Amino acid sequence: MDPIKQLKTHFRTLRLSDEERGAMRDVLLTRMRATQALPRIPSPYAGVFMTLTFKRMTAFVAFLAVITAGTGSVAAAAEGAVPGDTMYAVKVHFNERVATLTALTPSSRAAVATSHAERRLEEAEVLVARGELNETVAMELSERFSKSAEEAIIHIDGLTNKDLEEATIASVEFETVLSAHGRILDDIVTARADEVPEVVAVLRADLAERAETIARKRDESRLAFVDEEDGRQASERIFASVSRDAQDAAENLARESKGLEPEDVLALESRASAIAIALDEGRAKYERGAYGDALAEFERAKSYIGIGERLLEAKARFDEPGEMPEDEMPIEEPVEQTIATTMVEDALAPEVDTMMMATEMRVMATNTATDTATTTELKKEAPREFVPRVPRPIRINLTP
Amino acid sequence: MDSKATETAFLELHTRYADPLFRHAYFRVSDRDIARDITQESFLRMWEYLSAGNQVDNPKAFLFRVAGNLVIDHYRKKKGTSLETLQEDGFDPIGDDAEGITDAAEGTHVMKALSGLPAKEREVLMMRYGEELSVSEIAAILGESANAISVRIHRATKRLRDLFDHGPN
Repeated sequence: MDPIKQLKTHFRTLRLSDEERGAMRDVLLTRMRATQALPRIPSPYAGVFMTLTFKRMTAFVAFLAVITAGTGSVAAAAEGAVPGDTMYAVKVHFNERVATLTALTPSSRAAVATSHAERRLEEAEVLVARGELNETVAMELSERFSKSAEEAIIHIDGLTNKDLEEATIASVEFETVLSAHGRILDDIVTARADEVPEVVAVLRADLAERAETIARKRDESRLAFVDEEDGRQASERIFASVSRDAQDAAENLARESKGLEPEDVLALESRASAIAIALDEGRAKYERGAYGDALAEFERAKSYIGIGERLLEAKARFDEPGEMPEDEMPIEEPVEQTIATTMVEDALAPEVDTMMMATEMRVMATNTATDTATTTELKKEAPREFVPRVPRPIRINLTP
Repeated sequence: MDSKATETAFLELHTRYADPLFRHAYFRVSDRDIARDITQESFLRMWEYLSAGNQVDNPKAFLFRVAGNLVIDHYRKKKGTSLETLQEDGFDPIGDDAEGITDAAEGTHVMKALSGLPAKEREVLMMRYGEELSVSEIAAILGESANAISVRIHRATKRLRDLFDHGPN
């Protein structure tokens, strides 16, 4: 067993016994009940979530209307930005905040947090592939990833107490993101070994650790399904949903196989087989009444599908040198991030007028390396396809 | 919030943080009873602080800070001198107790490897995997940059794996 896993296992044995814990709770309860004025207890999640007062919420809803009406193209253009790009602040401080605030159900909040965590990983991958990731940016991305990942876990934990089926789906999606991007980072880092900051290795370890934790939690919560009618129905519904995903995935794989190398085609076929086997195994266990085990197989199938999709996307992104369309704007050189960030953060103030000004920003971009200055004007124009420049192709391994 | 809800909320904090806090104390005092007392006292002090009308933005950071101060108090009473003076003289609460920790965790191979690490590297692995602190939390507690902590964790992990697989030298 890996020594870190052993370490964690041993540390976990160092804990309060049930008797010690019970005795401590009794002492705390006695003190609490002796207190006259009840205090406000901070949430265990304090510091993780952004809270808005009613006034800011009203102003922000107005802001959303403005964004939708006139600046949708700006927001869309920002979606492919990575740290160092002018539009990155828009992506993180506008687009992602909007997504967070408009996620109203627990499962959508889990999905948004998972999506934001995935975006940080994609950005790290692109920058490593380009040879542009320095220690500072790697650290910032790692911290932001951790924050979004923690939010996702908190929402999934919350769902586990309310809706086990939605929790299962959210948990599998989160684990799939971690596993897929762990593999992609492995391939990219292998190809760029001499250019990768040390902290990326910490990020990779973090992904593996979190994937293991979320899978273990899901195994534990799945026990609640065994022999229950709810478990049977949940298995049935998840099987139906995964079967549909599998059909779409099979069609997608057949389409993507054209033009791939034979070993990649073989890898995709192996993945398709693994998906089919997991579904068959799940069906067989369902028929036997082993609903918990059936669910585990359906989760596995869903994860295979999600990982396969992401590996294919990464292959399209990194396995061929990127070419810039003729009419594309030049990729901005590293900008004075503080300028853009300050302007964007000013635009997030509750006053609607200030927010409307955000649609007509003018940013001065300075190339600090060459001492040339270019002015980049953000105009309302059609969103541009994000085509990362990858100077040297990176082999993405598609095997299951 | 009524009294029942208040109790439930505070006990939720206890459920969530009691074990990591206990390990945080135990790694530093190597005595189960004292670590348990420090854990309990940390929660009681937090309750008193809240009851006095104060606000806590980050309950986890608050509890670990209180526990850290209680550990220092313990050593002051025990050694009769300041912890800072002790550290200046080369005393390290975690480093010197490596043997105790090895015994407590049944002297396994991995714990022996852990005791072979330099003190600062051992400390961050314990905080990360034993006390379940994030990189930024460790950085805040130790007063260093998150980047430096990340790199130290990475190096400590590599060294632990080497010691685990190949032994010393």
